[in-house]
Order: sequence, then C-alpha cells, then structure tokens
Amino acid sequence: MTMTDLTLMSAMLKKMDWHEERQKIIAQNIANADSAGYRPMDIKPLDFKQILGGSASSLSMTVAGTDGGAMSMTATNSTHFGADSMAAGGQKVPSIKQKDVYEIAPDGNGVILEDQLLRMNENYTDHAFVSNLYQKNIAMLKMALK
Amino acid sequence: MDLVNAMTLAAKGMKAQGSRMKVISENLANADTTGKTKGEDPYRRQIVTFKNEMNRADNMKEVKVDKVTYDTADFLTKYDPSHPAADDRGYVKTPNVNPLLEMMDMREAQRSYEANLGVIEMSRSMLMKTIDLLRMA
Repeated sequence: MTMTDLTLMSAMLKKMDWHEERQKIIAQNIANADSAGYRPMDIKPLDFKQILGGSASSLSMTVAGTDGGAMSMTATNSTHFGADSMAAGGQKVPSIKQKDVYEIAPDGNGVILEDQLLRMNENYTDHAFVSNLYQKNIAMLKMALK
Repeated sequence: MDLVNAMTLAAKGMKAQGSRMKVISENLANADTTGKTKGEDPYRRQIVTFKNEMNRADNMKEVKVDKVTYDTADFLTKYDPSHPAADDRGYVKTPNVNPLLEMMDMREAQRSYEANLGVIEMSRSMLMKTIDLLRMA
C-alpha cells in the first residue's frame, strides 16, 4: 500500500496538481498582459464529484492516474507511459477561455492585471491550504503509528 | 513542472518588458534629435509590439517581442531659421516623440514587470511549500 491508495491523499495530490496547472495559466495571462488580441484563459474547476465518484465503489482502487478522474489520461496501449509521468508533455486539464472578461483594450487584449493578481493570490492560498492539510494528515498517520 | 513553467513564462514576460523599456528610452533620449542638413528628417519614434508564441512542448503561450516598427505620425515643426536643418521657410522638423506618451508607456511596462515578478515570487513559494512536504518532522 502506498500513500496514494488513500482516497483523501490522492484527492489532495490532484488538487495540488490542479493549482500548479492554474498557476501556469495565470502566469501566461500576466506575461501576455500587453499582447494585442490576447484573451485571458483559465482552467476548468476541479470536479471532485468525478474524482470521488470514480472511487466510491472501490475505495482502495484510486491509484493516482488510473481511476479515470478529471486529471488523468487513458493509456490505450500497454507501452504508454503512466498519465502522470507525462506531466511535462501533454495537457492534463484543458484550459478554457475566461468567460467573465469585462474590459477589452482597443488592441483586443482582455487581460486585467488586478483581476489576474487576485486569481493568483486565491490560487496560492488554496494551494497552501491543501499542502498544509496534506502535512497534517501525514502527521496524524504518524501519530497513529507511534 | 507547471510551477517551473509558470516561472519561465513570467521570466519571458519580464524580458519582453525589458526590451520595451529599451525602446522607450531610445525614444526619450532622442526626443530632440533633429537632422543637420537642410530639410533632413529627424529621429522617428519607434514602437514595440508583442506577439504570442506557442510553446508546444509545454503547451503555453509565451510572449515575445515581435518587431520594432516606426511610428508613421507626422513630424512636428519648429520655427528656427538659423538651424542647419531649417527648410526654405525657416522651419525645422522635430521628432514625433511625445514625452508624456513615453512616460505613460514606461509606467505600463513597469506595472507589467512588477506583476510578472509577483508571479515568480508566488510560484516560488508554492514550489517551496511542496518541497516542504518532504521536510516533515
């Protein structure tokens, strides 16, 4: 049994993965804050229902990347690498056009710097929250082992 | 390595803003550069443009300085008959640089640069938080 066999742990790992992906998208928006015609992107909210739904019947089967959760790719061939080992390559979560763009500059750029910074801060706080939660959980498990 | 990618993106953004600052300072420094022969054109204002460049390996849109183009606006004129570049009517063409506009552009570049710096700082702390998971007592 590994740590990721625990549903809660694998869910938290997914959540952290999602935050990292979102940070990348926000960085892209900010870097392109002055590019003509650029529209800000965001990423689909993490679907916990899907993560948990796929594992509800068999709680011990949620090995990261194999449970068909929101963030995994399907290996259709036995020679394929595991979905998560390919994190640097293929896109895990499709990025979507940000819908609530309320101001577009004359050059067609829709990035609002303050809005993006706010999103980044929110993302950072949530990421810190999850990583603290992860830490606390490990500490609890350790306490049980002692 | 999304967080590292985020930092790369921000660094590229900072580089682009740096190039923009270079062009702005060129414009400001040459705001009074006139020709020295009769009717010669003075310094022409330069404009920097950015473009997206898709990085397919990491699936992200990096920012890049596209091309430095010239401002096609008309030159300003100044009445100064004794100037070597004065035309027959005594007018000298001066650059089409508006210092106020350049200052505004400079502020915008500064704000973008700061925002990108913020992204790097925040990505770094996120990365450190993740690394700290290893360091549990």
